[in-house]
Amino acid sequence: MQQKIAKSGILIAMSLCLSVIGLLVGMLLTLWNEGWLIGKMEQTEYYAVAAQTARADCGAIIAQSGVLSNLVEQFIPDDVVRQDIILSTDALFRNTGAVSTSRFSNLKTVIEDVIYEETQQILSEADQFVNNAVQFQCEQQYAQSIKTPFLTAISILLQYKQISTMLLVATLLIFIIGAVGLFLLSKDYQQLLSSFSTVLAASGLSLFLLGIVVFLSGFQNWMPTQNIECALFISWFQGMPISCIVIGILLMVSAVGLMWYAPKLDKGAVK
Amino acid sequence: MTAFKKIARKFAFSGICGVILAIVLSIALMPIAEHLKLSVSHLTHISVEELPEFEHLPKDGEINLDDTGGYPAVGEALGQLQIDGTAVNCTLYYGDNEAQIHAGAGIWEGGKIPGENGTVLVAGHTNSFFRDLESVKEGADIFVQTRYGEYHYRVTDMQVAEEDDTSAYDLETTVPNMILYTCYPFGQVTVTSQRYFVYAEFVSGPEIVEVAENAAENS
Repeated sequence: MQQKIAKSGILIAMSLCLSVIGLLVGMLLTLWNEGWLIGKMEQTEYYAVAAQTARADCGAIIAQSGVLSNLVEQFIPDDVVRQDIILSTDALFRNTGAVSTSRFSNLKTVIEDVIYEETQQILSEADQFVNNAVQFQCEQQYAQSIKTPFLTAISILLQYKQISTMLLVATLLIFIIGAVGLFLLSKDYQQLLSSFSTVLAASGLSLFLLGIVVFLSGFQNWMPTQNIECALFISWFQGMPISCIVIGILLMVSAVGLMWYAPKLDKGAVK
Repeated sequence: MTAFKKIARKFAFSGICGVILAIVLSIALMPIAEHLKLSVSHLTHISVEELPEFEHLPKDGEINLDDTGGYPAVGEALGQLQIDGTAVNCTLYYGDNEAQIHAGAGIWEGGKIPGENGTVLVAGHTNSFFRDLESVKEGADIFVQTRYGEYHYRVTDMQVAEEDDTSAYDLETTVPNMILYTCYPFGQVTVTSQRYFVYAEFVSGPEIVEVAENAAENS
């Protein structure tokens, strides 16, 4: 009786550890993976929309200087915006510090040259002061445009990534200790494999159900506005429940496989 | 026992175990989910053409807080804080306990609130709402929309200092100003004794009058 209780306890502990390991692996492949976010930004055409918004915002600021030509395209073409967003995302995931771009460092000079070409007039000191402010505001607005989307949410998740390695090692250790305990408590290999299949089935089912629960949590409606950032957030975040469901299914299939294979073994004694 | 009964018992054990584990994991992840939900539940990008929601609020002059709901209570969402050129855009609460800075930025109750003469001391977590404080540059505009007025500050300086370095902040001054701070290095999870301070001078906003009595009650 005591052995049964001990064995049940070990099975539950191992199932919990395997569920946590599965969840951590899923997170490492999706939400904690910089490549996952960058890939989703490509897929949802976030870069193009961010570039368009940045140009519209900076164009409105530059227009305050009285320039008639559209200058903003030459400062922030699509590929430059894309590159800056990726750099910004990379810096966030590696915690290497804020990215500084200075894309409008010579905007003031260009405005003065263009206005002279358009009007044959040299700017007054007051106009130059305005252009200083225009340049500064453009830099500020652009810096905001190239920020990693939903930066705060990603920062919150990345703080947990810092303890994931420790947690992974700890759960693996407990899982191995549990496996050794099962080995010692099993009277033959059939029973041992049967116990492992129970662990795989339980943890697989828990991950599968967790994925379903996350899908039903309503994260699709967390953002107040249905814009490109919302679409990107949904596309990015759903990686977590999908990975849980996939890993859960893989574990359950492995459990069925083990259950099918176990009776074919000779009932050789474990010890 | 027949093979069928054995398999059924095994599935029953796995099934019950699986459901219980799913419930346990869901409960364990719920606080993180709430935190995430709070962080994305406001607009993270404000374009220059987009007017603040509170455009009808006074931007100068004098106001009496009694006309707009009285002095804030600890835990109250006072308004919205946004820093130009950064991704800092969050709810501003009165009070800087864990409950407040878990959900946004928090004003220290021992200091002032926007509109009062003195230092408004604002705290935020380095790994969430104030993560992007590191992008703040001198001259950047800080906008604070409260339920009683709209305030504009401008960043004048930044520095790293120890948490017990009292020379890093002046809470006795009567000149209206704002100091934002967070743990340093940015994104730090473990305990750190360093803080990153951002200093901002007051530019515009309505002055609160007849507040002495209210402030005394709430201090």
